[in-house]
Amino acid sequence: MRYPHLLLIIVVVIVGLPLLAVVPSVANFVWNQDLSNVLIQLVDYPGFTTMLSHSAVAAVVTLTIVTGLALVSARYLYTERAQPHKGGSVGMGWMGILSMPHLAFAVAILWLAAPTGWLWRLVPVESPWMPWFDRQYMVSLWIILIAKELPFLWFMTLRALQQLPFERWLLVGRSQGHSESRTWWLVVIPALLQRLRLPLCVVAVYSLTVVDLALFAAPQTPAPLAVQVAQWQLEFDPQSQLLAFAGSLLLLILAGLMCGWVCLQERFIFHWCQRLLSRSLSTTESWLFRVSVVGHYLPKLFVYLAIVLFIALLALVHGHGWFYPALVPQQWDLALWQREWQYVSDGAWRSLWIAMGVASISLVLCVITAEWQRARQQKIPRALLLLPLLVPQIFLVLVWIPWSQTELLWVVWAHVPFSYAYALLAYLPAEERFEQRYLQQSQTFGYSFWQAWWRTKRPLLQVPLLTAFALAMLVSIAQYVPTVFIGGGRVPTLTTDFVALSSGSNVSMQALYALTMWLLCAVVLILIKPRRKNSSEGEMR
Amino acid sequence: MSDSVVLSTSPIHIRWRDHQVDLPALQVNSGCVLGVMGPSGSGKSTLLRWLLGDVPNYVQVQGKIYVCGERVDALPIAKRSMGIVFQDVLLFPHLSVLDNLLFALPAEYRKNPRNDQVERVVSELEQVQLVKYAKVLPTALSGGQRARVGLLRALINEPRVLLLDEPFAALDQSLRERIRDWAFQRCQERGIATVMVSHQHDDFNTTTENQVAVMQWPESQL
Amino acid sequence: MKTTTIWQCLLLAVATILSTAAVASDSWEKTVTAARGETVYLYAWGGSSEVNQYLRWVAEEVEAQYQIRLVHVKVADIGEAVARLLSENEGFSAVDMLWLNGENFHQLKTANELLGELPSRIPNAQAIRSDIPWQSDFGVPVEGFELPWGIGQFHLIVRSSLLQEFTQNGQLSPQQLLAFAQRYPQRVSYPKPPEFHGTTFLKSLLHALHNDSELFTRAPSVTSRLALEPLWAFLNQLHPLLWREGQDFPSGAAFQQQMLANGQLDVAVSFNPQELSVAQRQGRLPEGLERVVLGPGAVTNSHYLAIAKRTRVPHAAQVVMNYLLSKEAQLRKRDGSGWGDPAVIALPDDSRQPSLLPAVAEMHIGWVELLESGWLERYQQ
Repeated sequence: MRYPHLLLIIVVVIVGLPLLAVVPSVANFVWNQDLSNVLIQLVDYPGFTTMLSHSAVAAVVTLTIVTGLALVSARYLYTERAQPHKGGSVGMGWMGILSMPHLAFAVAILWLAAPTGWLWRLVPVESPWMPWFDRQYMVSLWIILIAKELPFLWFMTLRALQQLPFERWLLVGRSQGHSESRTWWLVVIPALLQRLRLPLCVVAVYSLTVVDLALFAAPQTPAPLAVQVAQWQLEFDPQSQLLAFAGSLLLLILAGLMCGWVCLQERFIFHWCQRLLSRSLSTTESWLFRVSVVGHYLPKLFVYLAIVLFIALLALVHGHGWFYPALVPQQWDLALWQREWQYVSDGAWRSLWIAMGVASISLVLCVITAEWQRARQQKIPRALLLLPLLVPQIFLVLVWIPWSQTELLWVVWAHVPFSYAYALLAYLPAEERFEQRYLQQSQTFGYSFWQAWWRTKRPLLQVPLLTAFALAMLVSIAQYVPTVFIGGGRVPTLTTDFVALSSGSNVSMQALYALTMWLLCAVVLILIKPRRKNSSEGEMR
Repeated sequence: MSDSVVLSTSPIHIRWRDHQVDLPALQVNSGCVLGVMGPSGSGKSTLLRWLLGDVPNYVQVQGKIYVCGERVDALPIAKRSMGIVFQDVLLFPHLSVLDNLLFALPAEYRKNPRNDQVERVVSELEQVQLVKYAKVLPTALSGGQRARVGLLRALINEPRVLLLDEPFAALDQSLRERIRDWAFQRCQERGIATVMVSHQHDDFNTTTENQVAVMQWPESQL
Repeated sequence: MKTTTIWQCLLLAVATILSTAAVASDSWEKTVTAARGETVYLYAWGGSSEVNQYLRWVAEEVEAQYQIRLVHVKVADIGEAVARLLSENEGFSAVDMLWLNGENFHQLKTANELLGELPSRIPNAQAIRSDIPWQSDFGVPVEGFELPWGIGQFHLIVRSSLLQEFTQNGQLSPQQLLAFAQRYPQRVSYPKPPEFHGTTFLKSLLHALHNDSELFTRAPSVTSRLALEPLWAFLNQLHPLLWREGQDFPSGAAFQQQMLANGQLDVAVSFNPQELSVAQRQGRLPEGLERVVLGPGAVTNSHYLAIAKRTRVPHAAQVVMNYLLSKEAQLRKRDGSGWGDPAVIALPDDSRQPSLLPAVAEMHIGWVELLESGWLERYQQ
């Protein structure tokens, strides 16, 4: 490749500069403010310790449980997918939850399963079994985060497994007299976990910094720190701005700690597996193994969950006058679609086009980044990739406003840093295992570098490329803050309308937009699903 | 023809981490083979990669490369008229044997109608009795077949220099020798200069008419 | 309301009318002509489908009547528009008009980001009712930087069957509320301050606990904290009886309304005097509810429209604002089959205007800060 640095400059300009834009204000804050004084004010703010613990505990709990569940179900995920005759539809069905916007998921599942929800009206029980699963309970935030992040991890797990010769490992293990599940745990899991490090960091950071879901599902007296920071940011007195700033920095530090936790649990599991190699299982451990069979049913469970949530949303859209404890609404109203369709479809198309533009740009940048890494034979620190997820979005976007215009192009640009990070997440691990000599080989036949790339690397890395594209699209579709702030209302999307509606009390309308968003994301995932033909061949073993 | 110099270099200095290797000027005539012998990990492959135009950035190589008198060390890989066959052959797994070979046809051929191109490839395949595998994906070939297709793919591009990086090491000895001799013969016929790297001396004991010079890889300094 | 405030209002209203009368009508025609073909971006909360629908209708009308394209920028919190305005550099703003009040207005006015002298610019401003205290927005003097669009009156929506044994005259005193909560523990709550419904709930209680509403129209002094003591004492009694024993509070009025609909609570709060009938028609709230005022009267304020100073289209924004204050638009807004928000101008058939609730005046803004910080210190651990 010629001029790798020149190409990298493109990436730096498009993604790096916007992120660097926060540096002056951070520096200004750190040097000019009486830092210790602000920190004291932050610590003295009513309910600060609870806020902090809400956030930290949510992140730790989500991360730990999601890791455990992903590991116990990883194996069944793959076999179900590899053998389509054994329920191939089930194998992909849980992607339904992956494609569901977070907030839509929360709205649907709480409407269904909260103590006064539809489920408990249908099921003949004396009182709901889960009185703690309701809005503004910490446990419900945990559950929603876990249920929403697990499919994302499965998605990344599938990608990681495709790059491991684990079937041969299992064979070797069996030939040496180990049971398959033992080999799985002792050999495959450590390797898998290593490959999931970055996605797990993403899950941890997301759980820590999530605002919309936390506003919806977490307690508010006090709210988790990220919610409070977002609220301070929208109060404009200097005091609140300082608190917002200090809170953001604190979240950043916590995020670093959470990534440390990811490495810690990885090492813990690794050592545990190593020790198990040379001794037999203790009773607790064999009990654990037996329990881990639940992993077998999890993907299936999520398929049913997706179906049930779909029905729930559909019912919610069309139910008019539906109050506890009625089983069915006073009347079914099919006119809502008719009335709103024009506006919904308008926003949906715009979301789609923006997402396609954003994903295309992100993917190109992603490829450039990867090829630069190859040319320089050095890796860009992974923590940098997490940066767009770490800095509170509203903070970044407010800094961008003076530099941007309210045109579509700028909105697309404002989405790119976030989509790019996710695209890299999906693409880099596979790319790094690619046999780059294929490219040299092609070039010896007289092709230029990029011709050779297009003819060989692109088809061989089709699966990770499409995965990255799809993820980038989903991330773009979900953007609210950059779309509203940078677009200045010139580019209303499905998401901006949905989030605005979510702040009100018209649940049917919210459900209508949620459902459309979900369908849009599902269509993206289905259309961009790699065909089975070439999948996994190009990723080198 | 067999006397003309195809590949020549100035003295070469290869340095990486705490190793340094100094090589004399190399010269390979048309149809001749330069064998490079040395233990694994001593930097032999680096020499090939440098000739090809792709040196890892932790390695510094000083020297000049000429192909048929023309200086090429500033040219991109695509312009150097060099072909390479790696130990693991690296056929493109997503392309059939036919497509692999079509892919490698010289640039001027690619403008021809597809039928002409296919005809050309098929005639080459006929010579090695592999026509019936044209539509097959490389994964379905045996090791020997794969090696032959790999060689064919490098040769069909009509390079002036062929670089062989421990070729066919995965094959058993008699097969390896047969394929090597076949390759050397083709290079002889077409006046291609060959540089072959190996850690086994046997690899250079060919029965073909090529002039084979074997260079012992020097010890690393520092 | 005390007589002095009324006099102040009247004086201001008269002054407004006099100043606007001086504006020649042909200058307005020039504005209308200049506005043709422009696009106006009106930033407004997009959480209510009734408001959204109403603005769609307005957009059609101004398109037909003035050839102006009106775009409703739906935001989840109007603070987002304020943040955008304050972050922009010099030059035209992306925000042309805003629907706002209270703290957000205060910030923009202080930052000098709003177009002033609206009463003399907007012809229909002359028609604004003189019987509503719109010259002060949450205690901040309006001074011509915004014009009222509608009226908010804070009240509770309660299940009638349960309410009857506590009150029948449409008013609930703090003691009656306490008794209600004692009888139906876990069924009452209010949005968490500093959410403005929550803060207003506290204000209503404060008004009721002191019979001296004069006190709160003045800026609080050093000793004012003492005036809040009865409120804290009352809340200490009330909170253990609330939803989740007062350990947590609903994140907003919309959520609390959903809890009322779901049967989780018996009380919701609202600022729109017609909210109950509108919500019932829309199928958002069940039958068997009634509205009731907390304390001696409903804390009454207005919600406003303002024009950004740096708007690209000052003419078109004024024309849109004028239209929003027209009889036609206000009549439609008042219509209970739509939004149902009370009109701010005197309308010919005022007999159909649902009567406003008995009102108390807004507090000085200084009290809000005291209330909110005091509440957080006590009840957010």
